Formats: sequence, structure tokens, C-alpha cells
Amino acid sequence: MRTLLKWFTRGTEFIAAMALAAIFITFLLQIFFRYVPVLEPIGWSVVLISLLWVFVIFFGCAFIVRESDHVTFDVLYLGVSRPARKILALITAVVMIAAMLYSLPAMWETVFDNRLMNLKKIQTIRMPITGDKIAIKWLFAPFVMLMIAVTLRYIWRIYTVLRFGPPETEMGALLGGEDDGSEVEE
Amino acid sequence: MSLELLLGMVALFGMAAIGTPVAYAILVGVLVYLGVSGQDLAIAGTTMVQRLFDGFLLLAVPLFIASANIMNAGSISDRLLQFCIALVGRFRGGMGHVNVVASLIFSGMSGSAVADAAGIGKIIVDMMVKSGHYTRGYAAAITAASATIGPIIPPSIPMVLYALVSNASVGDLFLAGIVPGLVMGIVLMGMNSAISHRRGFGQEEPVPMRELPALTVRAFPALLMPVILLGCIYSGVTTPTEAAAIAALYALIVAAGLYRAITVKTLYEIFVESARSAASVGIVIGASMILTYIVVQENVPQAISDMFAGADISPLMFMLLVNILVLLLGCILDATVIILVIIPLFIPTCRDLGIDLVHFGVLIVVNSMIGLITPPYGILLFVINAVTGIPLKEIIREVWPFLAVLLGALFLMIIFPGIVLWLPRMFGYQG
Repeated sequence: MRTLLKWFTRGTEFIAAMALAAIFITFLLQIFFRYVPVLEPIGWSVVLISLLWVFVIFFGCAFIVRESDHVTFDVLYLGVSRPARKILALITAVVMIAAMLYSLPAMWETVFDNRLMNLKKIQTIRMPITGDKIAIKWLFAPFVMLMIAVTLRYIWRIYTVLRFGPPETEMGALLGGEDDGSEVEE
Repeated sequence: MSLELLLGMVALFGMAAIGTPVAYAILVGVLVYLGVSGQDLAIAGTTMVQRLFDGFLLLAVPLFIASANIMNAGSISDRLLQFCIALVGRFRGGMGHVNVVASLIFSGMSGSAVADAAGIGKIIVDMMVKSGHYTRGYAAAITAASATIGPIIPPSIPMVLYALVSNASVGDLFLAGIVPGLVMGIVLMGMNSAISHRRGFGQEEPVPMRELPALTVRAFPALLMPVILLGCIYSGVTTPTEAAAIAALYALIVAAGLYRAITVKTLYEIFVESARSAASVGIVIGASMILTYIVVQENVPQAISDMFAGADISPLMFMLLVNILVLLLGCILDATVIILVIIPLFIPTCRDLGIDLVHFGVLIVVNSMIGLITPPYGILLFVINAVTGIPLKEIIREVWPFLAVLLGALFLMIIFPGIVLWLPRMFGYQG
């Protein structure tokens, strides 16, 4: 279990790092192609970069951002006693799970049952180089993945808080970290 | 304010107060609002994704984070410190001056106050305490205060966020930040000088003047970063976002090629860490955008604008009021949230009153950075406390004089818009 978790974390870190590197490189290519005389300026780079950016944010928050990395207003949380902290951590977890499960059906239906077109006006997204159309749902799918991952992580967190007490250090946050979220890939 | 919005806000602040990550607390608040008002729950997620997808300017954020991390990983901070010590270490309270000058230069590379404080700030605090001339509270306080300059001098993540909500030009905002950043540096050094003389802080062994040229050459490539960034934007060679990519490339070339301070392995780790920070900042940005979406849907900005129009208020009075509000909010809210959620409420009023949006933006960024060192809840105070272990109480006791002079500088910038707008006007800004 431990090794599996370690490799899962390494894998997700690798994917996020590569996505960020791809954003960086695509930007450089875009500038390069514009100024080298024999080359045609590339049109697909802007869409690719934006897709990757949305992916990095939601994939990152789902799998590689630890609880302690988040922007948090923790002055009250850190100011109360340990038992009280345990209760606050549990409230956060329960409310988050409830909120995710409450809104997941609507979100899922919107993204995967083609309700998107009624809601949003977004230009057609095309595959880099080949120019094939990409279904718009793949832009929104990472958010659904985040919702599922957040649900699983807070369920796992309830378990760790009950078993080991409220997380307060980097180490505690790590223990309350990733669960296997691989079933959301497809 | 409608009941739905009120319930949403209660949920948001309630969750944030008990330690839920701010982005998730906003999401819960928005879901409560949508649920109570009977709207489609999917609006929360789809709006967030679409706003992030459309906000192309935001892509400067992960790139600035990456270039800051690359610069921090190289031996650049060492070289810069040696340069600063040679330059201003000889005066009374020398290490305090070194601290401010290092922040001024370093801010030209990182764009994030927290990164400055955690990176170079920790090194200087250790040096100041070890020298035996300063109390540890004083060392930590001046470090926190000087780190606020980081996002005022370009590159600057908060200014990019402001450009997004106000449609002001990133290039003009970046240029407009330079003089205010220098002013902040000067007032901090003045206060440091005054305190050092009064308390009789010791002096450092002066570095011989003949070593200065060599040290300057060693630090020079790092000093060039803001020039390259602004050069790219103003010559029209790249868009502001592309300029951020050029900045990261330049950081990489300097750190890996010139200083030979980065291996493939550290580069990989830098990208993992940058992706992590980019995701945690990005989710706050996205969440702030859906909050703005519902606040606009509820017509709050227009109501505020109408209120001020009815009150027949002068632009200066309005500026002062908004700045006092931001200062108070800055004690409890994150700068990202202030700029993305609170500021859009006032942009229509600014337009009506004829307030220059670049001037306004720089004031807001300076103001929200001052909020980072305002007790009791100043993130920079916490960061320094976390990385150095110096008790918060000692830091807070010493931070007040620096806070006072920074507020004085902010007041000057409000009264004299020229401090902010002179430089962009030199480069053709019509404002």
C-alpha cells in the first residue's frame, strides 16, 4: 500500500511537471516560429497552452497539492486546542464531502451528457498540428476529476483525523494526502 | 443583498474561518448560493473552468513562479548578497540596508513577496542575528517589511491579476511600480538608519571599494532580469505573457549555463514545486472568479457605484476610503482574493470618477502588500516566523515603525499620482 501510494504520487508529480514544462516550451516555440523568417507562425499554441493550464490547476489540486500547500486562513484553527482542532478538521471534511456529492451529479451530467453547449459559449478546440476537433468535454473533465479526488481525499482525512488526530505539521498533511483516484481517469 | 447571497457569504466565511482551504470555502459558498436560489449547480464548475481558460493573461503566473524558483535554486542569492554587503554594508545599521537593497533587486526576479521572504529573507535574518548587532525580532521585522517591495517592482503576480480584472495594461502597471518600489525602499532604509543610530547598532567590517566592480560583474546577470522583461513588452517583441516565458528562459540560462548551479534533477524538482504552487494559486484565482461572477450577477458593483454617485464624493476621498477598506481587509484576507474579488466592485466607480486605473492598481497592490505585514494576521510575519523560528511576538513588536513609514509612502502615492504615473508617461502612457 505504502509503495503503491509512493509511486502514485511520483507519477502524478511527473505528469504535472511535464504539463507545466510543455506550457513553457510551447510559449517559446510560439515566439520562435513568429520571428524565424522561413517558418509560419503557429496558430494552435494558444489553445494548447490554455488547455494545459486548466489541466495543471485541477490535476494539481486533485493529486499533488498537499492540504498545507493551500491558501488557508488558519489563525483560528491553529489557535484552538487539539480536541477542538480535531472537530474543526472533521467539519471541514464532512462539509466538503457533502458539497462535492451534492453538486457532482449536475456537473457530471453537464460535462459528459453534452449539456455544455447550452451553458457556455466556447470556440471550437482543435488538436495541435492535425487540426482535428477536440470534444469540449475534455476541457471540463479535469474539474470533475478534482471533485471526485477531493471527495476521496476528505473521506481519507476523516479516517486519519479519527485515527491519528488533527494534522498540524507537514507530515500530518502528507498522511492525509492522496488516495488512489485512478478510477476517475476515464 | 439578497438572502441567497447572504447565506452563501455566511457559508464561505464560516468555512474559511475554521481552516478550510480558501478556494474550497469559496466553492462551498457559491454552491450554497446557487442551491438556495435554485440555479444550476454546474454553473460553479463550468464558470471556473471557462474563466481560467479565457484568462490568457493568467498564464504569466505559473511562468513567474517557475522563474522565481529557478532563481532561488541557483547560487544567485549568494552573489547578490555579497554585492549588497559591499555596496551598503559599511553604514550604521548596514545589514538592515543590505536587507532592503537585496529585496529591491531580488524583487526584480521573483514577483512574489512570500517567495522573497522564505528564500533570501531567511538567509539575511540568519546573517543579521549571527552578527550580534541586532535583536532577532528586529532582523525578522525588517526582512518582512522589505519583502513587501517584491510584487511592486516587476515582475509582479498581483499586478497581472489586477490587469485581468481592470483591463489596464500589464506593461504600464509594471513600469508604474518601479518608482513606488524605490520609494518604499528609501523610506525603509531611512527608518532603519534612524533606529540604528538611536539604538547604536554596530557596523560591519567595510568591504574594500576595489572589490566592488568584481562583485558587480558577478551579480550583473541577475540585475538584468527586469530590464529584459520590460524590454520584451515595450519593444512589442512579445506579449506580456510571452515575456514571462522569456523571463523563465533567461533565469534558466543564467542559473544553469552561467552560474552552473542547476542540474537536471534539481530542474525537475523545480518544475514539480512550481506546478504545485501554480495549482494552489490557480485554484484560488478560479474560485475568486466564480465569486466575482455571482457578485456581478447580484449587481453589487453597480449598487456601489450608484451609492458613491449619489453621495457626490470627490475622487481623492474615494481613493482614501477604498485604501482604508483594503488596508483593513488586508489584515484578514489574502492579497489574491482582495484583488480578484473586492477590487472589481470598485472599478466601475473609478471609471465614473475619472480615476486613473493604473494609478489605482499600483496603490491597491502596494496596499495589499502592506496588509501582508499588518498584525495580527500578516502572512509574511508567519512565513518569517516559520522559516526562522523567531517568536511572532518579538517580530510584531519591532514591525510597527516600518509599517508606519510604508503607510506614509502609500499616502504620498495617493496624494501625488506623479510618483506612480511619471515613468509610464515617459514611455507614452496616455493617462
